[in-house]
Parts: sequence; C-alpha cells; structure tokens
Amino acid sequence: MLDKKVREDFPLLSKQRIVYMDNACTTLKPKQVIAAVNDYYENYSGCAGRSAHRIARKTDAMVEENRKKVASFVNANPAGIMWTRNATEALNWIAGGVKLEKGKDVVTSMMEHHSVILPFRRMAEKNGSRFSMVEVNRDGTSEIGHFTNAIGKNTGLVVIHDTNNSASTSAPIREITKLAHENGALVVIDAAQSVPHRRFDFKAVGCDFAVFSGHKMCGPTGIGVLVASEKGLAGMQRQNVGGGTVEAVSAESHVWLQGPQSYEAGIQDYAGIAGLGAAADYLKRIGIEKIETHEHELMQKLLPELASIVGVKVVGTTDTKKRGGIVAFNIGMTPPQEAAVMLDEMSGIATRAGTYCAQPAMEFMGAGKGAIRASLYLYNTAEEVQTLVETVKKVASLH
Amino acid sequence: MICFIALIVFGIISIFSASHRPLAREAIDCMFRRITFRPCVTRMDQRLKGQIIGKLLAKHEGTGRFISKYFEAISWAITIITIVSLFYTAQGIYNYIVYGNCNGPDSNGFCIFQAIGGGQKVPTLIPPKTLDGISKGNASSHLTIVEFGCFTCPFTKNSEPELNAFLAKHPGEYSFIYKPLAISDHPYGFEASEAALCANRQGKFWEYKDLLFANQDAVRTNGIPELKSLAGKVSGMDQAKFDWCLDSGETKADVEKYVQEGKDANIYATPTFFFGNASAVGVLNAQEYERLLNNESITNSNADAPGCHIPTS
Repeated sequence: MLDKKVREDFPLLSKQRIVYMDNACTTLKPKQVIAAVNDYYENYSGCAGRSAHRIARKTDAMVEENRKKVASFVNANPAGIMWTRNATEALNWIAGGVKLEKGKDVVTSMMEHHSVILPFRRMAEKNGSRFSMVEVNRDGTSEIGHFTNAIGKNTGLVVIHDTNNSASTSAPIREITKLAHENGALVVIDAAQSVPHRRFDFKAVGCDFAVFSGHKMCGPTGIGVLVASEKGLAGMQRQNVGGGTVEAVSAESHVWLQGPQSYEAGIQDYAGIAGLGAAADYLKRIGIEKIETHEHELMQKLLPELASIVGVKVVGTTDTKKRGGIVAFNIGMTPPQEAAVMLDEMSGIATRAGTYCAQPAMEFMGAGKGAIRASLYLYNTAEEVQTLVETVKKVASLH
Repeated sequence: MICFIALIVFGIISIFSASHRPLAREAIDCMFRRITFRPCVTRMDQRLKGQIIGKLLAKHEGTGRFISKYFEAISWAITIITIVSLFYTAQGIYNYIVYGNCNGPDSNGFCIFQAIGGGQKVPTLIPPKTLDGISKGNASSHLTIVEFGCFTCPFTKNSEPELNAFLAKHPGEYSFIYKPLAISDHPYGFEASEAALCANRQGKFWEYKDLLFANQDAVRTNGIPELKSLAGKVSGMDQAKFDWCLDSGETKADVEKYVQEGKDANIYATPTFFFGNASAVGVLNAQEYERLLNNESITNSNADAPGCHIPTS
C-alpha cells in the first residue's frame, strides 16, 4: 500500500474530518496542483499563441509543455492532444465532428455513461444509423465475445469504456479496437475512469480517440483531454471555431491552422492546463502502477467485508480481480440517497448515491433505483475502509 | 410528511434568511409532488431523513434506531402538532389585531406579540369628572370609590366577591358609584347596560346587577329575552315597565354617556377602580383594595392588565 504521508499533500484532508470516497465523481486536489494553478494566476496569466510579450510567451510554453506531459502520461502523440472542458465535451466534439458513412452503425455497450450514450445516439439519429448497446454480463463484466456479433462490416464507429463508473469493470478494449479496425470502424475510448487509476497506453490500444477529465486525476475542474490518432484527427471537423483556430481570414475565405491548437477556439483554461500538467507530474511521481495496486489492495479488503454484511447487496461482480476501485451497493431497503447522507452524518464518509449518469448500466445490473457508490483513490487508507464497513454495518442493523 | 415539516420550517426561516429560500422552494416542490402521488425528484425527503437518523445514530445508537423505526409515525405526529400550532398562531394574530390581545377579548393571559413589542402602552387613567352613576354607601364620606364595569365582562364579574367583601369590611367609610361601561364587541354588552339602567329606574339596580353577573353566560348567549327574564326574577320589579324601557331604548343615551365618560377617563379595560385619585385595573385581591384605600395606585404600564379590553377603534 502507499505511504500514508501522501495524504499530507491534500490540504482538504487535514482541514476536515472526512473519509473521501467519491473519487469517481471528482478527486481531491494536491497542493502541487493548487500551487500550479495559483502560480499561473499570480505570475504569468497571459494568453497563449497570440501575444508576444514575456508572460504570454511563458503561458504558451506552459501550454505546449503540458500538452507533451499529458501525451507522455497516456503514451500518445502531443499533436493529437486537445484541451477540452471535460471528457463529456470531448465526446461531444467527436460525435459532432466525425463523419459517419451513410448506413454505418454506432456500437456501444450497456455499461456506458450518459456522456457516451447521448452524443453518439444523437449522432446516429442524425445520420439515420442504428445505435446499438451491446448487452454484456449482468455483473458488468464483458469479454470480446459479447461484441463479435455486434461489430461487423456495417459498423462505422465503436464507442466504449475502458473502465466504467458503476461496477468499475473494464471492457476488452484492445480486442474491440482490433475487431473494429478489421471492419473499418473508428474506435472511441472513454478513459475517464481508467487514466487516473491505471496505465492507459493510447498507442498500444491503437484506438482512434480517447477522452478523459482532469478533475478525476487530481487536476482542476474545467479541463479535459481529447486524444486523437493522426487518422482520427484528420477525419474530425472542428466543433468550435473562432480566434486561435485560423491562420488567416479574409472577407471571402479563411485558412485553418494545422494541429491540435486549431480545434481550441478562444482563450483556453490556462490555469486548468497548468494544474493538469502538475497533476500528471504528481501521479507520475507517485507511480500509476503503485496507485492501481493500492486501490486493488483496499478493494480486496472492502468488497468481501461489505458483501458479508446482512442486508448489503453489491452491484456488479464481487470478484476483485475483475474490477477497479469502485463499489456500488445498497443497504437493505434504505434508499441510497438516505443511506449516503447517513454515512456522511455518522462518520463523515463522502460517497455518491443514485445511478451516477449510468442509468441503463444500473438497470441492467438490477439496481435501477440506484445505489451508494464508494470509489477509492491513492489517499484512502485501510482504516478508512474499516470505518466505511463499520458504519454500513450500523445502517444495516436498522432493518 | 417530512417534506411538509420542512416546508413549514424552511418557509418560516426563509422569511429572515435568503440562503434558506432555495430549501423552502425545494420543500414546496417536494410537497406538491407528494400530494400528487409522485416521487420527490430532489430526494429532499431521503436527504433529511438520512441527516436526522445519521446524526442520532452517531450520538446514540438506541435513539437512532427508535426514531428510524417510527420515523413516519413521528413525522405524522409533528405534522399534526404543527398544523394545530399554526391554527392557534393564526387565531392569536387575529385576536391581537382585532382585540389587542392574542388570547381574545375576555382574556389577559400571556401574549407573545405584546411581549415582543414590549406591551401595548396605555394612557394614564384620569379620575372621572362627574359623580354620575348608581351609588350606594355613605354619600357624605370623604372617599368616593368609582367602578367602571361591564355586565358581560367575566373580569368584572370575577372581581365582585372580593370587592363586596372589601366594601362590607369598611361600612360607612366610602361612597360607591358604579358606572356601567358597555364594551362594544361583547355580545349584548350594550343591551345589558341599558337593562341595568332600566332596573335602576325602578330602584332595583343592585339586585338586577347581581342577577346579571350570576347569569352572565346566558345573557351573552340569549340577549334581550334573557335580560327580560332576569327582570322577572327581581322582587317588586314591574316587568311591563321594564320591558317598555328596554324595548324603547329609554336608557340608550345614558349608556352612551357612560361610554363617553369611560373614554374621557382613558379607561382601556374593565373593571377599572378609582379610590379618589388612586386607580387600578382588573380583578383585585384584598391587599390591593387596601393599597387603594391608602391612596396607592396599582399601575400597569401596558395593556397586559387583567381585564376585558376595550377595542381601540
């Protein structure tokens, strides 16, 4: 497990009595990230790619340096890294910008986030295409076999999670990508719940697009990333145009810039980019593999104990080898919202309740009315896990 | 039910606190959905229950368990208590506006609005300028005791035993004058005064007065027939004369004169007593009558004095 000293990096943990287990929603921010954001505002808050003065040049250098840093973090080409507001916006850019061949279908799974389902369903509807959601195992796990029938010559685009936000199970994205490419389809990976927690290798996966959010990986809110392959970028139209996206504009025409910057219209969230760069540095220093192991060890302790409490029902697989650091569960007949508030009031445990923008997935796994979701990260400890277990026991004893 | 309680609580708090207004709005939405048999989408009910049970479980597990088990029943009980409280509060406000006292026209119990407002200030009582009224006792005595009383006022009635005991204890030391002061919002208060003055025209005032107080509730309920019926019980009373007097309003002008005299003396409640220049309002005990006898006023700086308050309008 990771050294508990890591908790000292997170100011909120020292200021409040809180057991923070809502990391799948957003993570806490370390002081290094806060310092990077403050540094931008205090020392060089200029615009990038426009002005020539020294602080603008410094801002420009910071933005491009962090583009490289983030690219390195997910092993992608910096030329394919675009700044967005969050993963949802990145998915909307793709759904709005990629041209789907007439008659080609969009394939996804039942385990997706609304931010995957809605933009791509709309894309399919506009194109007159079929939008199919592949049914996987009822415990949220999936194998390539689930997708072999759905992905074929009629498939134009496959959009799939790496790790989902409800059962924290992972789709076989490498096999899916291979199968989709063999059939000439583009592949979009929702990596919002995987990039912060384990190694995500864009080049090794071989997909065309991947998206993730800064705030789920210790970075600031308001900054996200769209990663595109050369082929993916070439086929994607700009969704936002305006200042910063063109080389020249005349009364009659315009010439687009080349590269990722040409997709980033207007002044960007430079403080967010600075913070995200610092977050990538921070996670790299801790070690993403160490974080994955830490979460796995905590889950190995948490899941069996939760599952053994009378009245507690875990959503999705109880095999810790097949899931990440998220566990959704219900306590008897107590509505999840009520139970989550109780956990907070009793022991200061911050969890999420509901269907977490993944209603089809939750219904598919038999938890359509929602569940409490505890999601772990690098600063959670075995003691906190025990606190959660003991508090859940008390709530369960009400029945 | 928790939504309804939240609506009342947050509704009241949000009058003073803008930050609670979104909660009040949420409670309205939640309540509306509940009464239209739809779920509360904001889950306010679950959130509030979770907070309450969670806090209790953290403090005392047994209490938390108990409240959790009977949460719905307790919510209903609080709701009913809240509705009843709201009813009485509204009634209190109405009484305060109409009668100047939140307990109603015939009560002088504690009134929160008067306490908040520091009490309704009253003007200084001024001894009456005339000796008009129905008198008894020693007319040549140097002490004149004046009572402004209302026949339909329970406080005037309740003051009678102690007053009579005091008067009996001091025979020949006073001249006692009763000024019938009809309170306008009392049922048949004016008519009772007219009737008493009609009785006085036959020299039967004191006997009739005793009967009026003894049958005060019946007078307030039945009015004129009761007043006539009581006259029939006074020995030596000419009933036909009495009825004629009452029906023709022969004493109406006299009653109005006493009302005006009460106003001139700043009388704000009955009974009000003047022992010379010393004054007191309400039901008095033996010691208080003795203090008045020693020329010591029993002052009330506000309208909280026990008595039937006279409407200000």
